[in-house]
Amino acid sequence: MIRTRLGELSFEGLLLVASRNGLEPDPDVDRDQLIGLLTDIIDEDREEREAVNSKTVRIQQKKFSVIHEDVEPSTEDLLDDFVLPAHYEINRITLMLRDPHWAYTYWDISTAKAKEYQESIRFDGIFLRVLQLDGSTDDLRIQDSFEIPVQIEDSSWYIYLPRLESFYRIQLVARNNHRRELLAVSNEVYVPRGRLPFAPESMDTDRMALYELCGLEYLEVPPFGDDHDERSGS
Amino acid sequence: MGNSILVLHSHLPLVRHPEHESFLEERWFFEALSETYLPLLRTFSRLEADDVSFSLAMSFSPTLSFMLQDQFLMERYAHYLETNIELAERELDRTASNPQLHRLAGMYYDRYTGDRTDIVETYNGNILRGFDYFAKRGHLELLTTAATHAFLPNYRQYPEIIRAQLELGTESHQRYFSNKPRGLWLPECGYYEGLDALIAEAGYEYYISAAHGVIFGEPQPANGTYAPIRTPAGVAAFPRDVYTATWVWSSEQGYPANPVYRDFYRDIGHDLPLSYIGPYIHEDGIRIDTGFKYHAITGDTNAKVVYDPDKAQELVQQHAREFVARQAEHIQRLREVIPAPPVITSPYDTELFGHWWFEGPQWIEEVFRVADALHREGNGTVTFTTPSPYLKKHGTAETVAPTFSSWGSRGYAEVWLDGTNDWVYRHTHQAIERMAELVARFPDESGLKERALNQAAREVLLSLASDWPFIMNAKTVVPYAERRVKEHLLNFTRVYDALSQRNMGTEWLTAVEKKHPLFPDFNYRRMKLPTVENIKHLV
Repeated sequence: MIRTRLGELSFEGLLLVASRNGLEPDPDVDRDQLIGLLTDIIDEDREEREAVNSKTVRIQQKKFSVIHEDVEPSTEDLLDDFVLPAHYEINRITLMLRDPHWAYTYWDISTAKAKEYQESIRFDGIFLRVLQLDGSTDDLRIQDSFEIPVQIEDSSWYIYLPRLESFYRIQLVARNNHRRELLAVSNEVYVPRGRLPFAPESMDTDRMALYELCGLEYLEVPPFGDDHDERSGS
Repeated sequence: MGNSILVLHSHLPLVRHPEHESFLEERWFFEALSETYLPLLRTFSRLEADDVSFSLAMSFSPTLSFMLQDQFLMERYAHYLETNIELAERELDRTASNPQLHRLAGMYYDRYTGDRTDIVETYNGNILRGFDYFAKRGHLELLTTAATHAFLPNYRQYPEIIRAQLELGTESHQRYFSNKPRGLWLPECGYYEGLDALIAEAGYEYYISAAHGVIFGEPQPANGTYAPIRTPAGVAAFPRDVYTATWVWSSEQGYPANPVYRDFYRDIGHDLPLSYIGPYIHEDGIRIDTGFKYHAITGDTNAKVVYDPDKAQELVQQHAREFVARQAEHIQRLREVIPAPPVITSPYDTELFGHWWFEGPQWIEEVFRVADALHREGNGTVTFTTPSPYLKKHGTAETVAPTFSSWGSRGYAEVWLDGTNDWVYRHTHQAIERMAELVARFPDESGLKERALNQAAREVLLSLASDWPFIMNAKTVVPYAERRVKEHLLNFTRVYDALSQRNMGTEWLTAVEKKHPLFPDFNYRRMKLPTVENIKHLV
């Protein structure tokens, strides 16, 4: 399937896929070699992903398994001509929590606004202002913030959130004409503690016995957080 | 004495392609029917016929429920069965000189002809009747799930969409089954802070939670994962037990991995010459699983031994006895450390039993037979029950605020939100917002426009299915998943554009309605954006 799909791409398209997969092929690589290299990389990635997937996910994958081969039957229909837009004509930013460590944000900047910036000699870039808040919605107080510079061509980012048990929002901001222009503010997300609130050595014997019976070692997440993780927000 | 709750979650996304003569991905559904759902119904029938006590919970997603009674898909399933019966007949001839293989060919012949009889004569084309029958007899407690199985944490900023997903889950369930569901299966056990208020509002009494969703909650539950908690919104949550689950789930040490059991991968669709197997694989000559698998797992080798059903049956009985004994032992230990009456909640994907683990339905049958026999002897220490009777008798143990969690890899949203699938959300979120815009612009439409708006709303809901980002993450049939997201968004966009330009095409709309005919009574006005008033209690 992967090989078939790669075979449909132009050589430039293959180079783009190579670049996205962190591959820097020799300048004299030919098309077949490049497809071979990419197929290997993508297969390895898939195998690695399968290896780390949880038991529940591995079983679910079997539901969608019919073909074992590296091919896929073609289905011709109108969809081949339908291309989703790269962005929408709106200034907007959205924040999604992936886990208690990482969030994903994507944003749109209208074509007119992007053009205005690109043509402005005083345009000094776009950045994300990540706000850590101490309460939700009506009682917003900024506890901390940091900025992530991005390119005007960017439209999404994964962000490490430094504080547990905190609310976060993101502002999409442009620097233009020596001023900061607020383009959009995201929704708010709450980052949970994502672990037990105590260290293993501080557990009494009853609690230790209970958690042993609960099978903490089989949880999908480390019950006491990562070793380096000391990020409590309170 | 202690309780054990087995929960089987049954779901497939809507896969239905009348625009094609045949469609490969429809086999997901046909295989599930022949390998899991019909064998489970036979298991329940045998248990009932032998007067064996059995109780378990099963959730059915609205999309799967629709497919299980859809005449179009059942006609295609009938064709699938006829093809497999023909192949079984040829296999009986081909293997005539090899008694081991011949017996297995006979096993598949019996299976597929039995499926045909059950579908046509026993269930009249709708096996949901079978599950409803066992629910009415008190053996099954039926749950539902979100309308299109959206991973709800990724849509948390749209409470009206969550509401629609949860309410449609109940409404759809009542269309196919006799009773209103009391319990909710959260898609992928995906929970986020505050979701309990919407679950309670939609009328559910309980849901099944990931283990750490409760253990990491506030305050820490005194009963760990062995008693349901009450959330601040008053809904009960049964945390998944991960300890006993590993005996079944683990692909390395779990029961299904035993070398004696039938191998999932080795299939004659890949083994036999194209000249022979050609008519039974994909029309383009692409080799696929036919369902005829003659080998045991054997071990980490390609030299697989031929499958022996008698040995497997002996092992199933041994594993069932062991499972019940180990659960009893675990419950005994739990009684010494927790104050509440312990209950082990064991949720599984239904297709683990039969599709992945061929002997899974037999194992379930044997587990109930073993537990029943022990009770009859006066030695029963494990009582299999379901959530509602447990709650009626014991209630919830304590109030805990659950936390963001899922049962996916690494416990949160990563399976449904990573570099392989994150692009989806820009478009599905935009579609949700545009749909809300349509509701605001066209609040009182009727006739063709109302039909178009209802279909647009259905298409948005279908685009949200957790299966599409899941498949992209798994890197299996990625082009199909991408195609499906695009298809639903294209259909939505066509309505959006047509309403703006006032040129809705009746023919196109009718075709899409026929292709995706879910939720026939759905009212597009539910897809409005929330007002401050109706979300402030969620904050």
